[in-house]
Amino acid sequence: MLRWLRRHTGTGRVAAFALGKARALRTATAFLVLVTPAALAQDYEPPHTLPGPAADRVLFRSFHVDRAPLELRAGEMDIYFFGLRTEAALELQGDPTVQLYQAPSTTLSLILNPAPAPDGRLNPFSLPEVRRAMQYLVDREFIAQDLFRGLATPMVSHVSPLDYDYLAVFEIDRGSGIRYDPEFGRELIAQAMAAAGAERVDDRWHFGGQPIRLRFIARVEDERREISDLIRAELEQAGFDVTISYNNFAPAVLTVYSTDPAAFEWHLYTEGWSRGAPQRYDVGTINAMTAPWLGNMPGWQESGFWQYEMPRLDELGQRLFRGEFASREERDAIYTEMTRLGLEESVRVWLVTVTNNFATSAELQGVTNDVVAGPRTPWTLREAYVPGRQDLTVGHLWVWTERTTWNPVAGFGDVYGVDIWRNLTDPPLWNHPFTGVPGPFRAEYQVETAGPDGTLEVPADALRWDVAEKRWLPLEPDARARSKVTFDYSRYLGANWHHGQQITLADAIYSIAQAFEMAYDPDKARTEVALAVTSRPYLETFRGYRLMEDDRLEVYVDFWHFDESSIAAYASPASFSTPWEVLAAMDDLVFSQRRAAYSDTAAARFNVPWLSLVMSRDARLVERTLRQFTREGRVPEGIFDFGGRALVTPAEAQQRYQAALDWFDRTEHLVIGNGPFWLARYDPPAQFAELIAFRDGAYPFHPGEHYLGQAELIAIEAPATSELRAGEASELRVNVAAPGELELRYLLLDAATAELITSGEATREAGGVFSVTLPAEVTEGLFPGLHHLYLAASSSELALISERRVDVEVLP
Amino acid sequence: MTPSLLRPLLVRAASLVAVLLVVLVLLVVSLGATGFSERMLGAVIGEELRALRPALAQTITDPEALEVAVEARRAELESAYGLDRAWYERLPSTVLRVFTLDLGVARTMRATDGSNRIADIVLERLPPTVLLLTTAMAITAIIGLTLGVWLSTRVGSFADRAISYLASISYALPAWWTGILLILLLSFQLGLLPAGGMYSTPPPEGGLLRFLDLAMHAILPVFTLVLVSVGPYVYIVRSITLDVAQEEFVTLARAKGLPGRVVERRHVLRVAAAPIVTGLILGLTGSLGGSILVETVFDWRGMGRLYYDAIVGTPDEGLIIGLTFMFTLLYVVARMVLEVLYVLLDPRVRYEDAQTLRH
Repeated sequence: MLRWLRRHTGTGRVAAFALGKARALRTATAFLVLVTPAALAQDYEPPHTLPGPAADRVLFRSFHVDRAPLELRAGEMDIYFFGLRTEAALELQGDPTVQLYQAPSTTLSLILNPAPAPDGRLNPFSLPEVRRAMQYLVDREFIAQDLFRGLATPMVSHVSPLDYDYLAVFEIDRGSGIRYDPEFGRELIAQAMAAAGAERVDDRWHFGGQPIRLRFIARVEDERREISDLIRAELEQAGFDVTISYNNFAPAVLTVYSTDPAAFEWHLYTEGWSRGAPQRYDVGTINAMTAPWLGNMPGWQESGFWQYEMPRLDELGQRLFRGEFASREERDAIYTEMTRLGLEESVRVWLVTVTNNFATSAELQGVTNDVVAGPRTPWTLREAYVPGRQDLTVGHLWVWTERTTWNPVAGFGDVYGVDIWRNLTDPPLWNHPFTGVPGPFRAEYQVETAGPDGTLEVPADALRWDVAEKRWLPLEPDARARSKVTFDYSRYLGANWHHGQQITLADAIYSIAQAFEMAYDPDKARTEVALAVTSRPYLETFRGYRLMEDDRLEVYVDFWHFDESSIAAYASPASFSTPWEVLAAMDDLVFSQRRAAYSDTAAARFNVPWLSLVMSRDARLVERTLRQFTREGRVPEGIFDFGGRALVTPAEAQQRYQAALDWFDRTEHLVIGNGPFWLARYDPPAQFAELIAFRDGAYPFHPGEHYLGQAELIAIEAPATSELRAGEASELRVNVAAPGELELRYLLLDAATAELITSGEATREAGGVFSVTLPAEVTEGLFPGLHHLYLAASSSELALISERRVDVEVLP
Repeated sequence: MTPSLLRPLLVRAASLVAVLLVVLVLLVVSLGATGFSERMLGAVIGEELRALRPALAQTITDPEALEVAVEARRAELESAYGLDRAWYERLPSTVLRVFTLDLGVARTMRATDGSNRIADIVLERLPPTVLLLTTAMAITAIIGLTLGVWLSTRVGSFADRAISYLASISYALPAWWTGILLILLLSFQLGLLPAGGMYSTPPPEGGLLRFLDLAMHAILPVFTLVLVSVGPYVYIVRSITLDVAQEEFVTLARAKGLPGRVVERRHVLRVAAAPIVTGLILGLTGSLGGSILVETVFDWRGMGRLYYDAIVGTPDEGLIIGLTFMFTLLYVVARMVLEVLYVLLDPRVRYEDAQTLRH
């Protein structure tokens, strides 16, 4: 606390200037993801050459997050899939028996209630000037360095300084001049409050003779409690009475997101956001965090509530959302403008990107660390093993929760199930853990596009599922589509499902037809309303499918993106996650028998189980349906007759049904995948799951093929000289080391005022050498003293960027 | 039991049923009329929709279509949670249903077999709670009764003084803190007992083996609970017994020359039994409600965590009503048992008239 008080008695502005005068600094601050040294080792030796994963058996167990470090040290688990608390991570940092993997998976923000107060009262945060002033009252550096002990990175806009998009908004963000300067912040508040008619009485702001009191909802589960105390102190110093409520998740969201902002049950709240995977070109986050239309800004698009409105942000956000841009430059310009407006509005004051820590035993080999999600990637458990041991124990916060549902059609109920499931099936495509760009996992693809403005001809033999006719029919003549993606599934088609049956195109074709059936068949759409309505807008962009002689599948889609892999990810028609016979039995159970439901809401409406293939109770329902199929010799009508090719014969169907029934007899569930492990046991009361390696000879992957390890982060070397003379042209050479195509942007700020002097793109010379040129006309206006040169570098091989501050002394 | 005793007991039973009804009515009013229920369920829906929008944004690129999809989902959720009906239509029918012992279905919580029937959820959570808390309560009661009565005959002795000090320490120990210390000592340092959870890895599959594994995991939490509750229990039993032993009718019995053991058994213990049994029965009943802190520390999925999750974790209106009904019912039954036991235990307790039961 004393340390905190000391830091908050001076003013940042004066302190920075004094510091600049006193020393000619050559220090540099690097905002990099922390990596413990051993994690950088990329030497992975596969333990064997058998098909399948490295380990023979993986056991999932639940461990409470507070006990996880002890359990890990005691050898009770090899890897903990849940992020550790900061204190625990710091404690483990020097432990030679433990390896830490770090990833910036969480961001924290402060949301301000901008609703206008009723007549005779004043809500300070309804004044944009006060909201902007809040940007100067939060000490992001203190939060990052002291509260999170260095395991966080300050952030100004919704874009983390580690995100790829940070490069696009670099000038807007870093050049905004936003810094911890409470004196300046209080000045801004005083001006705005006085202009709004408030007066300061006994050092407290009053309006209409009443003191202004702010209701602060503070989360208590993590460092947000201390952050809230910090902000409360600043607000009190600025002249506000603050009533703080310390709440955990449920009461906090109940107050903030379920009440009308105009009811003023809250004025400010400490939000936290999880990030699941790296994304190179963001669309959703910027809309959610700045634009009111997406329902994540105060008012939440709830009818009857006061709504925060900002039409320009809505318009730009929707352009981004619809893909109404012709190039990356145009997209970046929209993104930058939205970020600028977001900062101008300051409804959200962004605080820090928190570095989450994931722990493994030091002996564990083969971990791939996603730059955002950490080791919780589909890659890790395919390659992980402990030398000399055949099994692995994976700890997680939970294995089963009340929301757990394993439903390959409508989705999973919680993330814990997904973390297990990812090891049971191989996805066709997946976002690369380092670049954030979608790419091949088990399928290959080729993209052809005429977008954004042109279209391609769709061949006459391309088909589309006709819901009324219940068969595949040719498209209308002269059908056209913006893009075509040709998928090659040969690594699936030669291999087997876990129950021993060969994967065929029928599995892909069934799931395509199933999606159209659920969306457009009136009866099915009435049963699963939400599924139908949410999938229709997506399916409407699909023009047709064409099966080639060599079993490749062409998909024609009305979608364009400047990044071709994003088109492929959008067009990917089948997940190959479940054999068609299980999907068919589920469909029959849900839509014909009405004895189960895909979604929780339909389950509640019809008072039937929310179908989960991992629960023996539900799987038994599917099993009975499969028995019925067997007795009746049923084969789904029309679906497998694709352009004159019969994809399934009655005998093959019988074989499939019998294999699925045998599987259920053996395992008591119907989770039949095609990935490196099969689910041997799932025991919810014991919070336990057992996965056994799938060593089928036809499985296409072997240990070592999915190992990516740790991303090599971008290293920016400080320039040899950090002095320049006012009025003279200056060139600073910067070395950037990283794989891939590199870019470097720079920005020069006055250290005392945080005023942006100049910015631009550094010129690439040979290799990783860049030059930052400051012409005489720029330097002649510089006041002698300390300046900050910010350098931000990106690589085509990495979704994270690196930033470095170089302190430059301007000589007279 | 004579008919003269039966009638007042029936009256008492009727009044306890009325208590049950009043509790449920108050619960419904506090959930519904205050708007808490609507807000609670609205928050659950709002949270889901806020997460749904960006998820749908991955595939739906038309904002209007996205809004239509979100609204469809909202309507589905509101219907599923019953928010398409006013609280005064929704909640009274729920109360009437639970009053007929049909606890209904939970909206967000489920049993490990996937069932959302509240009865299934409770029946799954109750046995672990009984194993943990009721066992601890029973052990505490046995030790407390034995030691308390023994100490009451040795007032001022070294044993009495020593145990009084220990009882104070035991009383002052927070269960969660003691639990953490014992985990560190007995599990991580000495490796004698499992640190938490309910089963080993991999868990045994057989019925008896599985139960023994569960019992093994219960030892540490039971030990913790006994440790923190036995001290005050011993002291209370000792004090009650001592108070009775100092009453005039006991002195009279001793003056009549009755043997010490007879006085102790017939005059002291029988009279002291009523308040002790009251504590014991209510304690055992209360133990069925579980303990949030102890269950959390030991990763034990019992009734305490269920209640907590139903209210705070993922609010579930049906489960809150069902659980409140169940615990009130348990209390009512316990009170009835006590009414009968008072008459049987304490010879001084007699009905003076048809309406009044005097203790």
